[in-house]
Amino acid sequence: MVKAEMKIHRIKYTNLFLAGGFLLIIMGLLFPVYTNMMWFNVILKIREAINTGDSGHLILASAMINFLYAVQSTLLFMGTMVVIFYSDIKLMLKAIDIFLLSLFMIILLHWTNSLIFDMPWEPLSTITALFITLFLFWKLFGETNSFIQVFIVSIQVFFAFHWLNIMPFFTLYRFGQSDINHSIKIAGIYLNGDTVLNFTGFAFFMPFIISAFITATLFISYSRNINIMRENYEKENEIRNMKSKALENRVYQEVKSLVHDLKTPLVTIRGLNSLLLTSNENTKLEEYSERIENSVTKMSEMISSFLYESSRQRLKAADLISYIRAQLPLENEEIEFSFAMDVNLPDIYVNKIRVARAVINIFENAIVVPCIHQRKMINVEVREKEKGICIIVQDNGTGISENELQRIWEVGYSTNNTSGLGLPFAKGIIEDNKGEIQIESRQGEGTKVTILLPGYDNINGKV
Amino acid sequence: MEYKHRIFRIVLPIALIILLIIVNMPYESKSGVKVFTLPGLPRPIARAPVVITSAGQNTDSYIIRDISNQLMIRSFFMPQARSINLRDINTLVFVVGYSSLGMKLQDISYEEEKKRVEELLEEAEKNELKILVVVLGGEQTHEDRTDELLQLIGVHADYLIGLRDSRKESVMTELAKEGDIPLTLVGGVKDISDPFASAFR
Repeated sequence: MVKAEMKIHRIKYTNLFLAGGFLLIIMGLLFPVYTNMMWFNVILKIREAINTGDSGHLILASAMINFLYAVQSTLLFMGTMVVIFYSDIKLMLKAIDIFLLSLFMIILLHWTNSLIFDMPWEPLSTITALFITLFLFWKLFGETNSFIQVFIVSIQVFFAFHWLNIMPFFTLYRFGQSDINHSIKIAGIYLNGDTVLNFTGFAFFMPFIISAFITATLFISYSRNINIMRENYEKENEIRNMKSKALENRVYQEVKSLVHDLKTPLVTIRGLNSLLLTSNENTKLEEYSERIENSVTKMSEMISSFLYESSRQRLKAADLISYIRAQLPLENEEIEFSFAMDVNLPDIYVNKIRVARAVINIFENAIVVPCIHQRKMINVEVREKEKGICIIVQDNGTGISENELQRIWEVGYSTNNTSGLGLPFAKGIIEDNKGEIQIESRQGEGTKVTILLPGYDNINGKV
Repeated sequence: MEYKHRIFRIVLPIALIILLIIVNMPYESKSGVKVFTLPGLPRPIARAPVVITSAGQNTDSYIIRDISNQLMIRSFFMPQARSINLRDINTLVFVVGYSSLGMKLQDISYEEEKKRVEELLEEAEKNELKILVVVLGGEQTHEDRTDELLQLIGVHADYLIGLRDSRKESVMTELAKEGDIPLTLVGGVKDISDPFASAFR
């Protein structure tokens, strides 16, 4: 996705970048023209050094000439690379061919420039720096795709290598062949400053070349980190979308179970209706009619509860429990269910259908969890609490480890190959109904889920 | 397509190598001729006042000016001296070294510089001035122009001073041999002072 966007961006601005590349080359070629005063200043500094006998002026002259050379080389280098990378040349050639072509082009540009404007240049230091810059460019641009970062690194390399030109030590190796650098060295030797020049050249060369490599490495690792972060962000987004879709699917399943539940009162209505048709006793009519009315009311409640998630009603705790029990597979012979319920439980204030679905989800978890004991037991207790009631569902399954316990509320996380949606779904509903849910577990011993539901009296004052 | 790539890969490195050779010309072979050079002149040949001028406008002439001042030789430093400046002058010192930037700074072309040098030589011949030639360079680019200037002035020189083991060594030894001109080759720029002084004292 990001790569595709980058491609579109690249195509859109190709001509602009190409024009920019040519502009950089022209700027590099004309560089001695519009900076001639600075070049002249170098000569004036050398003269001043000889006149005053102060080799400090030579160091200043060296810094100026090296800076000028470095800027010119960088402009020509950057221009050439931009042109190559934003033209069809890149598509036609392989990496090694591009490397050779860049090298050839940049040397040719330097040479042409020196011929046209009769300006001195330093072939050896420029070409050596060029090799290193191209190597770093390959490493850096491949990772970062940024010409600004390449510029920062390349100007350091060129600047570093031009310092070798003012070192009398390197004269033997054909560094410092241009008349300006030669004059600096001759003046330096005359002023007994050859050691100073050697030291200064080295003192500038080393830090700048090291800095160039360090900067390139930092840019590369920064770019890699950014890419990793971007990939992680994209993955997180994908996971979030998947979770959201999974939750939607869960809601759909809940709707299905509601629709299934609606069948029960419908069957009742149909049965009673057929009795009405066959019954000749008027006394029964009233009873059947009442029962039909009850079923319709029940259906209406169920539909309302589901349609209006936030709607809550006063409810007897026993009604909720019997509604839940009616939907549990209690006839399963492999599981031993035990129910314990306080007698005088207070009324609660919840969305009956949704809370029932949440509690059923907890039960279903207790049913499917593997068990190491001979017989699985699920104990359910319903007790009065200060602010309402608490439903405790306890099983003797394998339990959940401490590490896993911290993640069980995450959407999609499951300890027993289920969808991992049940618990977050249940938690959401309980909390929507101002209740609380807690899980305690010990591996090998079992799990205890405590659901607190608000009492009507407790919450009614706040509503 | 692959065939074209192969040709490209062969042609490009060859072109690159040729370019590298062109832009970074190898050393000129040093003269094999053995010429015995003098550490200095046995007796002075030149007299003050002196005009020190540059042939090629590099900064080396400033070094000779400094040496002359240190030796207390009455001299006039005129990097762009004209023939008119040679009145009442006994010696003309040329410091040879071409600098493209130096020429640009003085706003003159190479042809103009050559013409100025020729005029100076003509005037010096006419007034029978002694001509001393000092060359401090020898390792830099644009050697052809420095060589041309050296050849131009060298044949009129009364004394040649240069650096040993430089690319100019061969040119200077040839000039010295052909014109029977005294030649002193010194180890470094700091050693110029003695042979320069020997021309006057």
